[in-house]
Amino acid sequence: MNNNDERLIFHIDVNSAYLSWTAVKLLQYGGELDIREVPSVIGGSEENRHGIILAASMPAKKFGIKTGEPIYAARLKCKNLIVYPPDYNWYVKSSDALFELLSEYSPKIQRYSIDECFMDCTHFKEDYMRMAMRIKMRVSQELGFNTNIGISTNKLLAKMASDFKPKNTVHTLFKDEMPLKMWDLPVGDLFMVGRASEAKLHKLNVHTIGELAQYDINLLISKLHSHGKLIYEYANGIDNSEIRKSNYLEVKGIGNSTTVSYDIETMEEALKVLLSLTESSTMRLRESNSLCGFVAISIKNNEFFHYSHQKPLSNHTDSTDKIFEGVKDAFKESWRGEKIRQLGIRVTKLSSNEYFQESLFDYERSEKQRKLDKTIDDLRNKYGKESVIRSTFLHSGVEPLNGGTGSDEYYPMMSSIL
Amino acid sequence: MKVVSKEIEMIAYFKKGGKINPIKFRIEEEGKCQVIKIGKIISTDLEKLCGNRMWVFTCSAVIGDVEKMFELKYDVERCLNRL
Repeated sequence: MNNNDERLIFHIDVNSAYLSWTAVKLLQYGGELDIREVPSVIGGSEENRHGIILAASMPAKKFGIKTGEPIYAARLKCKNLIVYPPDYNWYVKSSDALFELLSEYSPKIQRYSIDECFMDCTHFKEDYMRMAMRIKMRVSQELGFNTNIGISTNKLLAKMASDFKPKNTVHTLFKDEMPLKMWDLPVGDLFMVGRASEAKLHKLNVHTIGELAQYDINLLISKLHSHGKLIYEYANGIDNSEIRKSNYLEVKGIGNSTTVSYDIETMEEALKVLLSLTESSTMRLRESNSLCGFVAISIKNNEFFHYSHQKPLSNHTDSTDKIFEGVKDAFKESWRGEKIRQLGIRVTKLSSNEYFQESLFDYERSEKQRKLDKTIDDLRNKYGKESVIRSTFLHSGVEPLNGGTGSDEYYPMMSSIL
Repeated sequence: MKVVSKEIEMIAYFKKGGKINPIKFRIEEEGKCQVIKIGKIISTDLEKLCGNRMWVFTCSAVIGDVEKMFELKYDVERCLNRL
């Protein structure tokens, strides 16, 4: 089945993670209904216009309800749909518990996202099926939720395997099983083939993963460039990425964005929202002991048109005030005056804060500023995020610190790097 | 088994090693207060669903004139007792 020098990788994926975790919480606190067995979804609040579906139960999926669609559209498909709000702190706790349990089985383990882990299980080669079943059973019994485990010789195939149906099962996808299990699937199911690539591939008359695997690689490279090579390799099950300890090695920037509950029309309002986003992003920047050299803002207007603009800062810095100056400039340069629905900021070109360039003239002032930022961070960490706020937010209706989903800010929701 | 799912007031003692023993609790139902003294603790289990720890005590007590079985839960992190 597999050569002796090959690795064995498990990919553990929680079935409808957010929904399962909320279901377990309700049951643990004495609820009588298991929401996994009725049409139900986890979704943001509709009043605040965060009303999209984050996860759906299997019965809800039978009505054709999909993750990412608006709640009102889902209600049209199923009248007695039950909607529950997300509880990010609970999800992080569940994810931590899963990671802790899995750590008992392998030292080489990568937390790929909040509900997925890769594990190097080469040492279980003799009876990997039994081990996988045991891990799956322990998670169900001790933690209360169901998982899919995909097994193969590399991360890509393991991840593809864990997507197979039925759910709550252990699936394998070794190289010799690819023609049978993977190549008949539509090409859009392949990792890294999104809607845009899918459309391009359809034009080349590539509809299944198998067709992609047997396509002329040079033609793919000429049409899709390096991405063409990547997906060609993926279709052939080629992937040599390592199990990484951390997903954050390649953090390139820190950012936050927010959808505002009403349309923003004035510069003053927009700047307030940007300031609140800056406050929370720079707090994270300082927490990670980094400085940034670039700021970028993104704007989505009320017609869902999206654009962004970036600006270099004169010095690498972690000061809220200096970064906000950059944000302000970037916004003023790019805003076209229309109504705004969503705003985001991002700081990039990160460097360590061990050494940094002082500007000659305002050394004293920046030193003071650093102390002030640190004191405010400490106060907020100790007494809550809103213990110290800028007076401009008083009675303004804008949250003083915006963005981020509870403490799970540190878990990437999705990543394209295996 | 009927699911009550309510927070309750509880008297318990802690053994030297930190083990918890529930003694009696008070439950309000339809405005009436009732104190129930626990007769026997049948089993004590640690439940950690989704990593959330709760001590589950399966107990029996004489309520009215009938001996009844019930489960008490202690929410470790929020320090709450539940019936």
